[in-house]
Amino acid sequence: MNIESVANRKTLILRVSGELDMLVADDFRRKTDALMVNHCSRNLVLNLSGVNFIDSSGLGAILGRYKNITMGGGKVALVGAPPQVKRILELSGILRITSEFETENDALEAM
Amino acid sequence: MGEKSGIYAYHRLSGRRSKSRVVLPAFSGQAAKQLLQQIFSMETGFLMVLSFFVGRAVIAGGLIPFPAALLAAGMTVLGDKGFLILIAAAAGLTTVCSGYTLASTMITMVLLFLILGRTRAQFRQKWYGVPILVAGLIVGVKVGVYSYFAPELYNYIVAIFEAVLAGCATFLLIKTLPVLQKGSNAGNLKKEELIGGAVLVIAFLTGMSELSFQGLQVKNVISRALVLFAAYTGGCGFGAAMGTLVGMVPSITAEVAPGMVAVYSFSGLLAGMFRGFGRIGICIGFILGNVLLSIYLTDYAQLVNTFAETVLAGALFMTIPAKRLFALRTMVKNSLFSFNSKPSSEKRVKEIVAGKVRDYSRIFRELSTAFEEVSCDVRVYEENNLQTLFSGVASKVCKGCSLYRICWDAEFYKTYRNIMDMISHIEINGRLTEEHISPEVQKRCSRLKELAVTVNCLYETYRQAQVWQRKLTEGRDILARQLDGIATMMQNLANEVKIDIRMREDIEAILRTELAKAGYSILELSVMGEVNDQLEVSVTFPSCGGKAVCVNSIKPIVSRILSQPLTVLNSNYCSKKTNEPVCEFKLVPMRAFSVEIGSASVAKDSSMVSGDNYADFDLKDGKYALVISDGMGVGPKASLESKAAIALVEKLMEAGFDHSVAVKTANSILILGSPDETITTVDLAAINLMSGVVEFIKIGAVPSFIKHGSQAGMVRSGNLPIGILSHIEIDTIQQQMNHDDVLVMVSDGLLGSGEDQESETWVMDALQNIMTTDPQNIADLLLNKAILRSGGIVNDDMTVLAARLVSAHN
Repeated sequence: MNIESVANRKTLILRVSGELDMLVADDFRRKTDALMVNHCSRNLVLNLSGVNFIDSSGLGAILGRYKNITMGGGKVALVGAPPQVKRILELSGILRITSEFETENDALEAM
Repeated sequence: MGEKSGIYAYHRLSGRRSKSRVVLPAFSGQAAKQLLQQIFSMETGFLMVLSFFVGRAVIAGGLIPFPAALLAAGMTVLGDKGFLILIAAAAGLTTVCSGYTLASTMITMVLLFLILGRTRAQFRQKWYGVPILVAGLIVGVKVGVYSYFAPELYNYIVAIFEAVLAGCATFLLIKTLPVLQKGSNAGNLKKEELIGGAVLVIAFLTGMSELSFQGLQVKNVISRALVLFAAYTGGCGFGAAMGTLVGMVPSITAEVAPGMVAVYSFSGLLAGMFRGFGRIGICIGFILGNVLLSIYLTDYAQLVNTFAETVLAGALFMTIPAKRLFALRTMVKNSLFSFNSKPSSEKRVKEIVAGKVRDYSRIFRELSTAFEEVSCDVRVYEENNLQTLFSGVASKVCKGCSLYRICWDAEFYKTYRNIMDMISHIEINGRLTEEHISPEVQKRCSRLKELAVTVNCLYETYRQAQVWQRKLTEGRDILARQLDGIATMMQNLANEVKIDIRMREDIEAILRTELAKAGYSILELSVMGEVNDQLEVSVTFPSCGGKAVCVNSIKPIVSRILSQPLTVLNSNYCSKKTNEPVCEFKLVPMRAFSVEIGSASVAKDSSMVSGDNYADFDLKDGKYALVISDGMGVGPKASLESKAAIALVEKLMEAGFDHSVAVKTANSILILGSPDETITTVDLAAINLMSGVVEFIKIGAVPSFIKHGSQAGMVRSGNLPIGILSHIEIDTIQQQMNHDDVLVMVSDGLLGSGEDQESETWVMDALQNIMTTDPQNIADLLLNKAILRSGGIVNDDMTVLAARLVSAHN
């Protein structure tokens, strides 16, 4: 798994690629939290276009970030999830509580 | 001055009042009127008539125990009526005796009146106080008087007898008189009260002897009316008993006439037998009995009188207003038949228990609302936090500055607004630097850098405090919801307690003997029948070691005896219980469908512990539940998580919680239990065994499938998994299933094994092509296919649970 980050005012954009499963979920959690604190970000945009597999641990990590960020008054958006990932996101109900966008700019505008 | 007069006024008033008590007893016109009213009121009138006739009661030729007893009891229980009773009883007494007998009895009564009038409370403390006083006084006074006027042994013995009788009568009358006062509101009568009533009746009737009008004895008329009334209230038995009682009256007075006992009791019996025809029927029955036996037992000459007395009694009985008669009847009936009516008391206990449980439920509900209200009050905290932020800036940056008084005193609102601007800047841009501080402050403040750093830092703390406050609130919220859930559960419990469950001992005995005949030694057996006749048979039986004796042998026998098809509840637990020496099971009326279960699962990399867990169990309301839960990740930790989720859901649903409430509660408990971010999915299907409707609750779970012949359908829904977010919304989906349909539930490992987009489709295809409907075969086949698809490597825990619905009529 690779993570690329861009900070835009109070929104952090994370571009994740590779597999988001139980082996890397902890890593993903720690890195994201650290980046959020470092950039003093409130909102999070997750670009998932490079993710080819996600399992329950990955979902748990995303849900955990969602919980923390919304508690502090921020928002979470998902961008460009490939179909097989999107299917799992849908089943898990995450798409019911977060918004999903085609591009990062769309997401940033909605923040 | 004012104070002084106030004090005097108080003294004057008290002085006047105490004076008026001494000087003016109740002789004013009004008081006399009140006294008259009191005397001529219904109650007092009745009491005086009663006292008069009781005063006349002389038994066994010379014993007069009743006047003293009635006086003592009256003064003990009724208080101020003592004087009236004394007068009336004395008047009655003078009509029956004279000489030293009259004198001694009068002296006894007056002494009794004086002693009890002064020291009533002392004697009332112990139940034997007043009776012993009465007996003692009679012995003392009478023996004294006799020793002077007629010193004979016989007289002394009579005095002692009279004293003993009077003591006993006093004791009984003390119990009975309050009942008369309470009238028809007395409720159920106790045994002593009834016996006391009988004594009073005898005394009253005895006092009426010799009172006649044109050859008709008033005593006989009243006796007959009483028998009629008894027959009306209690039927044959009570009528005969009353007949015996009043029949004894002549015998105790003087003449020995055992024949009267027979006449009265037989008439009471006959009158009771005619009770079905109403009041007239009773009268006819009574007259029949009375006249028939009177012809035998008494003189022909008296027959006219007897007949006239009977008719008069009948007329008297008929004139009692129906309403009053009915009230009296219910009272007597309740008291007579309350001794052996256990069910009613059991019902009362039940009602009390239910009420108590409902009270507790109300307490929990109150607690819940209290917590909810507290958790709503977030704003107060936020304001407090903001205050801390401001005072922090003032004390950390500005303290010691020469402009402190200007910024924080004179121009406080300006400073407040400027700091608020800085905070909103941080909120928008994430960070505050010196340049972003407003020019106004820049011009004045000499510690700009410190100010910027401190505001940044304090804002961060403020945010953190807010987060924790929210967490706290959330915790309270969860607690509130849990308390609410407990309240609901207790409410249900209260309703359940109130349901009239009857143990059918008759059926139990039959079942026991029949099963023993068939060679089964049943340890315990109980049959519960609810009002709608749904019998439930609980059996405890030495374990058969998994041979399914319950289903194969006991069920058919019990079904045959009850002539009702039954089914064994939770029969699947049997094999799990093989290690236990006894097996308990329940037989309930057969449902329209039964469920057959098959399952197959494999853990990741063929390890021993699977993160998936599943369970299937019967619910009370005729439903069958299947649950699969998938803990996050694999291995022991995931297994523990999912096991906990399933256990919670199962216990909550068995306790009677609604499906979605059960899942929500399980969610709250999981959140409280583990601070980590662990999610758990719950896939729940509840099959209604009467209608075949399946209700699905899918919490972060993959779709389920229903195989119907060579077709297959899919049930999907996206609810968030439980264990992280405290507010979860739950959708339920309903589907109809029929005979031979198979419900297939899987864990996500089974679907996620391929990387292609539509991994559900292969399961659909497979289900359409599988020829069998045997659930175990289907589960095994699907699991094998999934492993084959992923190239023989198990990437994730996989579980398949299949359930076939079987109609009971096929």
